[in-house]
Amino acid sequence: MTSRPFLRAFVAPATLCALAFVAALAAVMQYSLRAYVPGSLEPGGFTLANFAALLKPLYARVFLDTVWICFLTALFTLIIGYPLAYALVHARNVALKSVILVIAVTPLFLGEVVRTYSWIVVLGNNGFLNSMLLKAGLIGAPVQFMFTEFGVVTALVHVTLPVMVIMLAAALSHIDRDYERGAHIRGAGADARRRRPTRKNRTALRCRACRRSRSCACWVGSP
Amino acid sequence: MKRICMALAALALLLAPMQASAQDKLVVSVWGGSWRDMVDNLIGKKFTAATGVPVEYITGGTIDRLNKEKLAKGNPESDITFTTSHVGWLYANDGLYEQLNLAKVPNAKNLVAQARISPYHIGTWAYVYTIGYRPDLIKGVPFASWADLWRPEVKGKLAAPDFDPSHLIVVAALLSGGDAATWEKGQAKLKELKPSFKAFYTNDANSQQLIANGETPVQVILSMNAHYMAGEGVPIELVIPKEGAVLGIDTVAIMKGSKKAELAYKFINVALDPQVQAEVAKFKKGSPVVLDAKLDPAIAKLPGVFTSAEQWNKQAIIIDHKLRAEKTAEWRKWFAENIMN
Repeated sequence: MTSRPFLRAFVAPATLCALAFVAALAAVMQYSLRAYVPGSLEPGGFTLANFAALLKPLYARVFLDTVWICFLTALFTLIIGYPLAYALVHARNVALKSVILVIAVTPLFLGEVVRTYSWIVVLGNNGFLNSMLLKAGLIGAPVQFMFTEFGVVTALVHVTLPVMVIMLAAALSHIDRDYERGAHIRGAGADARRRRPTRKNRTALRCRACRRSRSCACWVGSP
Repeated sequence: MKRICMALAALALLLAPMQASAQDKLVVSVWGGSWRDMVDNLIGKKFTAATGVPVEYITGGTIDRLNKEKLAKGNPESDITFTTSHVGWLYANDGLYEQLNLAKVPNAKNLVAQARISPYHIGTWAYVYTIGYRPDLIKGVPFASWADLWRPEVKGKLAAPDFDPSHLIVVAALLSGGDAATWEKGQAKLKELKPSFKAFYTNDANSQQLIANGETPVQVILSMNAHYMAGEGVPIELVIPKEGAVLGIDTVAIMKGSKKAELAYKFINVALDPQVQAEVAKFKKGSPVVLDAKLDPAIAKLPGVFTSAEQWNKQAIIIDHKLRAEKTAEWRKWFAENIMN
């Protein structure tokens, strides 16, 4: 067993920071267990009324709405981000790679306020989308995109897309291209080549020619 | 050793004047951005020219600054604080303000009655929250009364602040035969207004954006914002309904424990100078709080700019500031649960 003589000394600063953080959280948390006194900055005595108020159906509905919007955001970000990440990793042209990367991460360059206001310009009643639809004669009156679930999810997907693309690209870049080439040589379709080598922790993909042989050299994928 | 001692002595000599000048400055707590600039340009510089004392500013949001001063109680970070009238009562209730001796503020003799908020804080400029609308986007509604917000033509077109529902709560109470203290009388009326809402704006910039691009052509809007947008070319009509517009007053006070109280009184006196008040009104399109300020006629005639005692008495709906400090949290909770959802 190796000795670690400096372990305590090295861990001590982080431990102290963690303790200070917990103490600060506790100092704030205690307000939630104390009564509000109107007009005063000092809270009152101990009470559970603040937590009891959360039992109203309204807050459960708000929580479920939040979960639903998070789910939709994750889903659509994945659907849009995966092809971008795949193209980013597999593009041979360096200039094209750069363009895809810049387009993918540009939303991060904007401040939250500017980004939100820019969506008003796109989704507003007098915005780009409605103007185009009206000009094309597809609608007779502006469609309400702002302050709807569609508008909220669109803006959230926009802001989370860079993170999704970067994370997926990082994961995809660690998959050996030879696996994909091997699958192609053995007859796997384009869709299977794309899907199967990129699944994590799945059993190995058997090539069509060696489906029954585990000793076949064309086993691909993660063990 | 000798060299070290000489170096230390030289350093002490250098630092001594810095220490002295640090003690001579007046620290003012105010909102950031154009508010800080206005206070500095119109009040701070005049104060420094008159007294030779520089002014330093602490900026931040209303509640952020309140929380910081609460934590610094007894040893305030600022000598003077600008805040809203009802939040000023939170400072006062917590013993953060010095009781004012207005005999030390000669310019306060013409202070309008509505600006004498408490023994601890007084108004410096005023504004109203009232109905602002785009006449090019909503027609046939005169908005002569707050009740016009309930008209079918306003359905899906209205925006109001999400951070302070006190204006609509009190208006609904008044329309239902109540007032701020009996605000529950207006709850049913306010629920009837729900279909009119399209959005709730989170700050001044958000409010301006929504009415400028026509997303919410009718708003319960801060008069200063409406006048600013009109100056930028946005066609906005600001109306004072027959019931009046909801008054807002920004206030000034001296922090308890400040060692610069005498300088602070001089600063407040500069702020209430009629000429300074006229300049503030011109810059922000708000109301002066002294009746002897001489305003540019173009500014004086703007809706929500009060220049006479009669206007203050007849065109303003005043929510008792202390009651508002006590009720705001309850109003925000009720409004969020029943109207914003």
